[in-house]
Amino acid sequence: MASFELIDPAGGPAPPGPWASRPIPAGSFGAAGESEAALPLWRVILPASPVAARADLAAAEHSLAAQEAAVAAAPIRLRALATGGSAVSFGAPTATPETNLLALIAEQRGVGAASFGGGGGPLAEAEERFGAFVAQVRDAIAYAALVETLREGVLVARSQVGWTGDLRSLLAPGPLGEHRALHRRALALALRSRAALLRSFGIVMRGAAIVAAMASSPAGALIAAPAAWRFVDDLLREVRG
Amino acid sequence: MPDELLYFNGVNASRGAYGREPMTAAELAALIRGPAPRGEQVDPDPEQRRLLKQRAQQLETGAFEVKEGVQQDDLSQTGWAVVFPAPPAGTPDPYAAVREALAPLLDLRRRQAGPLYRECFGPAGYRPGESRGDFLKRQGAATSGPVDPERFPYYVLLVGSPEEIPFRFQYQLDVQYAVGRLHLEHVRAYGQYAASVVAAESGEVALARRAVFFAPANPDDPATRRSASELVAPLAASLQAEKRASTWQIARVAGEQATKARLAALLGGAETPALLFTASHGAEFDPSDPRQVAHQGALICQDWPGPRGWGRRPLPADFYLAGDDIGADARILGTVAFHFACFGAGTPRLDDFPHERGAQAAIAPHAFVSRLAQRLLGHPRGGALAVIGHVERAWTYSFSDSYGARQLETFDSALRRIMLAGAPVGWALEFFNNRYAELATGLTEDFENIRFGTPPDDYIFTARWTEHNDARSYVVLGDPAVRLPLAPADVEPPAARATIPEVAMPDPPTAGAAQPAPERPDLPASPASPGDTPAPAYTLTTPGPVVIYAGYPPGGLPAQGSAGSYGLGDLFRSGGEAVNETFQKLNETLRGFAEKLSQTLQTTLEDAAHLEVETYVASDLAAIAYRQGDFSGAELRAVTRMSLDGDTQVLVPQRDGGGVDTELWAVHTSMVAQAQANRAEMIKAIAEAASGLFAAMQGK
Repeated sequence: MASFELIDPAGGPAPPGPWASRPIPAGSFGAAGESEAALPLWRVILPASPVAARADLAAAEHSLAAQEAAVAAAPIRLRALATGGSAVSFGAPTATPETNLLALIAEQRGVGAASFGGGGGPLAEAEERFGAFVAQVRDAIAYAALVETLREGVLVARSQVGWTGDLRSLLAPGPLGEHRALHRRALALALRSRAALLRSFGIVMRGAAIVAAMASSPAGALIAAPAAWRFVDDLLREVRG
Repeated sequence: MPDELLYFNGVNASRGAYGREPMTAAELAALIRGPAPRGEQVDPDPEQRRLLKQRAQQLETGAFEVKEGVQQDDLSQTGWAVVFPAPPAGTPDPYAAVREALAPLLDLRRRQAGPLYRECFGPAGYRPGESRGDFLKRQGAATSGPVDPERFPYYVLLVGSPEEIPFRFQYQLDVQYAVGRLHLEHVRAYGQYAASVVAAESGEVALARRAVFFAPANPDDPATRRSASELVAPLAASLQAEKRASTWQIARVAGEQATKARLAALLGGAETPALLFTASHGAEFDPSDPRQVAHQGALICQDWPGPRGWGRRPLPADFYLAGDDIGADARILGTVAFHFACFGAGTPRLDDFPHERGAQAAIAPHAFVSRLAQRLLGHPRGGALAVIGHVERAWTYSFSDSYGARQLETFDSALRRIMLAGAPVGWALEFFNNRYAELATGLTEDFENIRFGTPPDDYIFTARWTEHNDARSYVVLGDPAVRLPLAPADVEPPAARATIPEVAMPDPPTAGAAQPAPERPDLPASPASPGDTPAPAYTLTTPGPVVIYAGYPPGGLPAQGSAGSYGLGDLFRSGGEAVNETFQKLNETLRGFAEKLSQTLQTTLEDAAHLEVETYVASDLAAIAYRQGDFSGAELRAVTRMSLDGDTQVLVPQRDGGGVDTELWAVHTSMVAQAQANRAEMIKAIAEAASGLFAAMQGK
């Protein structure tokens, strides 16, 4: 079973795609210097079987496509919510992004204005996680991305990609065409996920404007951004299942 | 044959591409089977699988869907039920106004069904997440076997959106019962539909016995060419050859004739028949496309020049007929329409197509009923009595496979029953339910056989799977007990189509109503229909019946205040200092981000002048500290440097023994292609991020 990890110096949430976001483990970069820790590392660990590796990558690509579609639909679902549309069903037994968004309001109503932005409730958590999300997006445009492909724990290829496209790859020698093909695919997946992450920022901010407009917020969309981020993150979780 | 390409109906109008690219039977079979084939893939509910098997067995033994002695077209024997969504306990029922608007229809059915009439309203309605079995048990009905109308009526009208009463529940209930769904945009539209059915059943509507089969055959498009020649043509011919159809005029409008203008004439215009059967692509849209809710399932006509002629560009509204195109002056009262088209009846939120590892794609922000069908049913001058169509994708493959075994009998039998036997549409659609039960049972066995190492032929397996999905997903929109209001064979029908009087009542939008779709500014607008009054937009101050949430705190719903929100305003209005503090913090975070974005964009201007791709090889990758840009110890094997002015420098890898290292060179060139694609994608993504940030700052 493949594993997809984003080792994220910003400690941000899992980006669109199959990735699990992990903090930098102490000393994990071996011989590399401390400054390397600032670079986000997208690591794909594939099984030894080529068939299984290809199937896992295909599943990851499908998962990313589904999540991209879910994120793209966020403004529509927010608008539907704002206008009483059908994004929320009657008494849905399970939480949905829409119910969670409104639960933020419920929490604020229940505990009073003084707790706004403080305490450990969902609002405060959303603000904190939104901060990490912004840092994650900032890093994505400030630093190169590193992409590593491992087969059964053995590193077979690495690439460093600047956001303007400059690309340096390091490959294991010899006739290892299969490794290289898998790395190309892993690299494409990571870069597509990075672009999806950036797009999701734009969508969150546009969503924030919708939420703020719904609320007639005098503070504008910025104050609504964490709630909008939480909504988009919930959409991703919904698709991930 | 497993290598032959299969074509799927449905054109993505957002992108001008097929909704699903053609694939071979072997590829599709691999997707359907998935990594761990199980019967649950046919239906996750074991009770439902048992019911399907039972239904399939009943077919073999000649048993009927309703218990012995009950005549399926007599409501006094079959009964009739209406089911609304149940509101959460202690909250006002948002469907009270809809029920009132439907009162003329409910009164009519109460008179016809007598003691077998049932209303499942309020707490007796459908509860969120309920399975067919749970619902029937709660109603006191048996969950399997032939229907006993004394326990629960055979004809069942579901009233509500597919978010409130899911499509899956409709499919499941439809196996035993004759089920239809009514979900319209406005309360008044329900009143107009009720008035239409009452008018049709009280003798005020007498339609000429005319059926039209409409079939575009778009250039270079195998799907519509096959549906025109292998479905519509033989279907029309078969009905024409039927003795009982001698009093019918059966026409075919196909190929070049099957334009949007002609379809408009057949749906509300001068040529509107009693029964219209269309076979075409249904328009589908990306979930991010603002046209999706309004236009998904619209019927793509001959105006689309096909995949080659039009290319991969968004389809303008001129190529398809959508709900917007049915003008206020349309005369459609009494018609029954059958649309063979992807999404012709509705769209689920997640697609039904098989995916590797079970990942389902979100294809819409929420499930919804086709706006075209809604417009036809709830038309202000009197609506269609029923629209039969497909939820999700329809499959050309299911009526004609490469063995030459056409599967037209299901369509043919259903249409004969509607047209020639004068049967209620819900009963006529039982042929599809029978087929669904039969195929689901066979498919469940296939999955089990695969699991135990005896896979069926890919082609048969995929055919069975597509036919199963196809048969399952045909639904009736409208009252399943309606039938064609035909003039007696020996009586000349009125020259002009009857209409209903204006239905006067308050007209708030109903649950699940969506906003009208804005036209894309870069696309030609749909032709405006004279006198067409667009449905009013959903206003924020309207009491919205839909926003009721589970787990809402004891304080109940947020008040709908003067700001026109659902209580969100208070979130941002209250809090005083705390809000300011939060605002400052967020402002700081985002300002930092904006500065970084600005620096990045500035760097772009300097760095984007060239693109550099380097490929290194090292025997011990872990030893290279390449993250610091130091590739010491690694061997540089290939370089490509491309400048904005087109100058390109390449360093080609050589083998030790001479000659180009072709394998490495191939890897390197693919890396160059990837770098170019990534640059374009990243610039676009950063522009979107920046645009979103500025929009938020400007409050847009």
